[in-house]
Amino acid sequence: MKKYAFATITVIALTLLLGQLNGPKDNSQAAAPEKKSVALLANVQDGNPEFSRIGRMSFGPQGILLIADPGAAAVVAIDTGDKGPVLKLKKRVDQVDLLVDGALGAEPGGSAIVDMAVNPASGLIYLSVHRKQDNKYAILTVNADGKIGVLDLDKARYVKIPLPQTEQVRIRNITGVEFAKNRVLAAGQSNEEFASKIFSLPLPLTHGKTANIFSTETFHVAHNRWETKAPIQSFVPFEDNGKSYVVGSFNCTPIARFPIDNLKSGAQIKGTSVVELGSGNRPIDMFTYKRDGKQWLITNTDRFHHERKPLGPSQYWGVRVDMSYLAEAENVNEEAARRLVSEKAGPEGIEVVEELFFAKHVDKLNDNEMVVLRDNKGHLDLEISKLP
Amino acid sequence: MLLSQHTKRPVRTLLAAACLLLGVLCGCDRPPTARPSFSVDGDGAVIAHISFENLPLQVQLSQQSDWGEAVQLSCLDTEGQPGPALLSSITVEPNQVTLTPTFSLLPGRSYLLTFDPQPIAELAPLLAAVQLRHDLPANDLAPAPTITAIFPSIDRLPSNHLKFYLVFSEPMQQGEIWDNFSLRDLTENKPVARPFRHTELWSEDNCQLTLWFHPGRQKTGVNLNVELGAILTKGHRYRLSIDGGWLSQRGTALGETVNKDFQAGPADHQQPRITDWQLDIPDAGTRQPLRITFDKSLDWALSRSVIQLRHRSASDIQTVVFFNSNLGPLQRTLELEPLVAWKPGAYELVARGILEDLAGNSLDRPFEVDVSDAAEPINAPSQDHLLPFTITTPAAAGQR
Repeated sequence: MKKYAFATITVIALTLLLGQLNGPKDNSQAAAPEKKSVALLANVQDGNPEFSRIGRMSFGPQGILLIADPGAAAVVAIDTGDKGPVLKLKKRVDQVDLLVDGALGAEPGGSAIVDMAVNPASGLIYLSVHRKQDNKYAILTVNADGKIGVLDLDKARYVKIPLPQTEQVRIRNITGVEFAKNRVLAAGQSNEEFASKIFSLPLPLTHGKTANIFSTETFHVAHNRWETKAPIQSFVPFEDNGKSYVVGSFNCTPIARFPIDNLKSGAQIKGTSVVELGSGNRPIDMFTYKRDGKQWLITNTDRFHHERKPLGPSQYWGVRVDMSYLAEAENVNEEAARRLVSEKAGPEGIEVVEELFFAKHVDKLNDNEMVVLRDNKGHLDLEISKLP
Repeated sequence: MLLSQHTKRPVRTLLAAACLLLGVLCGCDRPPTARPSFSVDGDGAVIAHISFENLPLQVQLSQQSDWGEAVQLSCLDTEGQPGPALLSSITVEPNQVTLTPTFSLLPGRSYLLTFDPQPIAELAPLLAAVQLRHDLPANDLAPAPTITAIFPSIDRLPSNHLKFYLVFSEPMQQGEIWDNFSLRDLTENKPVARPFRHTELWSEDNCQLTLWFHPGRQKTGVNLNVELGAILTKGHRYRLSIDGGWLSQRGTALGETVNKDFQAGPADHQQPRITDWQLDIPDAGTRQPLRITFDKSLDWALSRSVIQLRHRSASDIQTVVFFNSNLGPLQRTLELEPLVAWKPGAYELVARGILEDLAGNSLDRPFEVDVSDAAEPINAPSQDHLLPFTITTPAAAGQR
């Protein structure tokens, strides 16, 4: 009996092993175990995506990590296979910037953290990093124990989608890339034009395919009079009454919504300012969460006029905004709700969030918590903070 | 086996003695040792090893042990202190453990390989901790990079000027570059606070940087502009400085601070107009350049990329291929030298609507559109702007 059992186990083991060795023959669809994953990526490639640079990142469903490659003007989606369970950071990691320097083999200060994204399905924290001396880019991870790991790009399962370019003007900076309801959105800027384009990439994200991607230019009106092109610095997708919007912030932090339904390629859209956070701030990250039946927007900013006119203890600060402001139809542009730098609080529904002081990067972990990369006297600590 | 703090040391000593005795009985009369070393693999990458000698026969190294804690490689700082461990993979052989760094070691840096046997239960009683420093030679100091040009090259800029192009002789170190730039008001002898837009925009070859003035200061009615005013004041003199300490990607500093002095003129809100450009038209049959004089200085990068020339014949339209294209030193003129001699006939100069002047006013639209004025075109799609002309043979020149 034992003999038969041993033989059966051997056959099963060999079958599994051979299956692993052969790998999926058909690479036309993502071979992730979940069916839904097939709908997100197509013509998946195995190997190194060969990044030119690694910039902004965000997580989508099913462990799909979206990564901007501004050097190649492309969006890369990697099926990380990181699907949980949730093991969130147990305690604060002090001076994670030095750990990153060390992990990369660089001297203290020899690397920079470009962006941070958290996989809500696992709690694993991803850092896009840059080793300055040889201009090398990598994606590192920080696990629940605070240990640094690496996303092995040589063994990535990925799709790479070049953003459409004109012959004369190329996109050289990608300020955001996000999953929306039924597409992926990216915001890009060129070297020469003071403008930004929003790119809409249809699902499934298909390796090498640029067809059906549309781009649109964004504008902003000041004082109900002066209309200029307005590059988007940071954005989140937003749905309201069945309509799709991009909620974006410009360099000077008016938060504006841009309708993106029924747009055609080459069209131009005008943003409607719905919230004004005050001058002298550079927006960094944005995400939304739900609390007490309301939807809130979190955004952190770098107050570059902190020395001249401080708002709080740090140049890095942030707010939460009641998302009902973003659906506002009447009090917009010059009448938009205005967060006054000189006031400690208000208006209602726009609140300075204490946990966002010193926050250089933030990302949502769940509706109760966010991961914060926090400035600490020039170094960076990584921790989980409660959402208000 | 669980050992209390009090019993740990004597028991370990006993264990070590037993192992040594066993080793002697087995014929190994030399004590076990761990020897750190470095080597270079076939790809030129530095890898680290801990080699074990004279281990008792019953000690079998296992991949499952906590080698990540036991064997570490760290970069040394300028004071010789080791930093956190490098990311690496570890392979275990019968008498050797090899550590392969995930990221290649950097030239000119020093690294420390350490082996601490304590996390490996079977080795802890036998071996002492060892370490080895490895200094990687620095690459030969590369020649200093240079800034070969700063555009616009004119020394009088509109007070609503938008951007500079810095051209380097080789790629520079990127990331957190903003401390390398400063702007000084020479007229008032004081620095201009935070004038630049902190968005790094590099060309594909990493040799050209677009340096923008902060648009919030330059846009009429935008909060920063209202509160602080524009960056430049008409009539004042300024100095843009690029710090000499900025390193190239090869690790050599620029050396000397590079300055560009200029004066701010009146703000420019007028669009360039292709119909105001002047053409010096060459004769057919020659390869003399077509000389275009713009109505004002235009954006250096766009002027070189968005202007084309087409030749119209009865049957088709052909894009003229140029042997050479020279933008004049003040970005006011462009000379287009054809690859083959000019054919007589109808031509049209084609400029894309995004072509801008120094203040961001394009052929399509002013940088700032006054939307309260209904006569202004708002959000019209970008279009090509045409300037037709004719090239004739010298005999027919009088009939142009």
